[in-house]
Amino acid sequence: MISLLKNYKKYSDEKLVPLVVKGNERAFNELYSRYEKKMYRFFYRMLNRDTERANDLLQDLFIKIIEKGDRFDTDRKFSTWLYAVAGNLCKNEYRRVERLTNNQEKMMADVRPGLDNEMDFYLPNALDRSLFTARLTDALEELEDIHRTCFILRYQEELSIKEISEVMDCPEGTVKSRLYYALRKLSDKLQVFRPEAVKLINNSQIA
Amino acid sequence: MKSRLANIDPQVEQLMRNKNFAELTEAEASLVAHTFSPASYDATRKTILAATEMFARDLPLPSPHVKANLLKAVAAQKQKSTNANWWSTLLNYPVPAWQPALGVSLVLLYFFIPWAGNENNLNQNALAIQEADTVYNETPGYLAASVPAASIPVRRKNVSPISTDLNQKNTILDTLQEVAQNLQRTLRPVTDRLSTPTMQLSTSTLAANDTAGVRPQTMEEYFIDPANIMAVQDQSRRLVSF
Repeated sequence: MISLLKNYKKYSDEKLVPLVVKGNERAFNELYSRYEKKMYRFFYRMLNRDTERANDLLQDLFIKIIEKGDRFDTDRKFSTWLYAVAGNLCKNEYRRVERLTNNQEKMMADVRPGLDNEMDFYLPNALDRSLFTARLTDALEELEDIHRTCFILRYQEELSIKEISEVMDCPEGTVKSRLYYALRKLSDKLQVFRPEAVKLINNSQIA
Repeated sequence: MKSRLANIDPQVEQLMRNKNFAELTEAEASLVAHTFSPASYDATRKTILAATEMFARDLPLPSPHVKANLLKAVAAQKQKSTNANWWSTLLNYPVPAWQPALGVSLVLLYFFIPWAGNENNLNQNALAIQEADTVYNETPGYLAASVPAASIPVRRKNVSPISTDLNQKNTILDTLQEVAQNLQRTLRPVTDRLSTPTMQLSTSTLAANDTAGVRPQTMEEYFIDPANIMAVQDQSRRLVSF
């Protein structure tokens, strides 16, 4: 009865976790509502936009919180711990589907329109925002795992350099370096779109 | 050729989000120059802006089935937690170590030390308490029989349904005997019947000095009752009229 009257919206993540471990449904609902979209989008992006696998990993992540949340050190920041667990889930997933992914990438490369081909580039009418986005997404997926993770945590999840270093368990300097390489590689791959990209970005900023 | 740092400074990154290279001040440009050339600065800036814009626009939502499955897991966890709670409460109850140790020691003493379970000692203690008691022990007294058992006639009651005459005869005989017994009991001197007190004093040595004011009561006080005499007279009258 008392738990029904409690307003869990005022609770910090770190206070909610022990309640979730005890099977408190309302505490779980609150914690889930705070992180479901963020974590789903993280998985979605990390798993090359595979919605099915993103849903699976989201479920696995929260199952870990429910069943093994007592391992969480409440002195730490919950979101950092959550991203670290999510990152480990992604690594496991990469290992599991490594061969399959390689095969898929080869198949995609065969089917994918040759955007690097200048002939395609000189079709400005066919180049719209979705095409640019698709190329950026592809470029992102082609990044190494550690660079992609850094990039997504920084520009999608908006974590600070310090938080990323905690999530990835590496020094801040390493995070800066990884971000640098990720940006350089993406810029190189999008170089072919540069004139259009400028236009698109300027348009979006004006809008 | 000027060597550049191979990492991105948060300050530089912030500039990239807000300004083209052409818009930078001299100080900012010199800061940026440690890492990027003007061309790579602009290219990286465009990548960051495009990616941020894409992430903000592409917002997929998780399946509602995920939450439904997770709620089942929460319910299962609650059940598990409730079961574990009872045991953990019991096992984790903070008891100082000396308390169970003392308990075990006392049990061992009771069974293994010779004097601990000796019943004779207990009886001696009880006797000592009894001797020191100053209160009367009230024990029931038994009345001596006024009529010898051999003198009481053994009567056989005829219960046969066809012997109604015998029953009638027996009834008359019973009445006569009852009256005779009552007369005998009433007329015999009372002092000859009983002198036994109904109260016995305690065997305690201190009982003689007791000041509780209780005195022994004799059977005289019970049996010399006018009501009894009246009843006997009444029965005698009925006998005469019969």
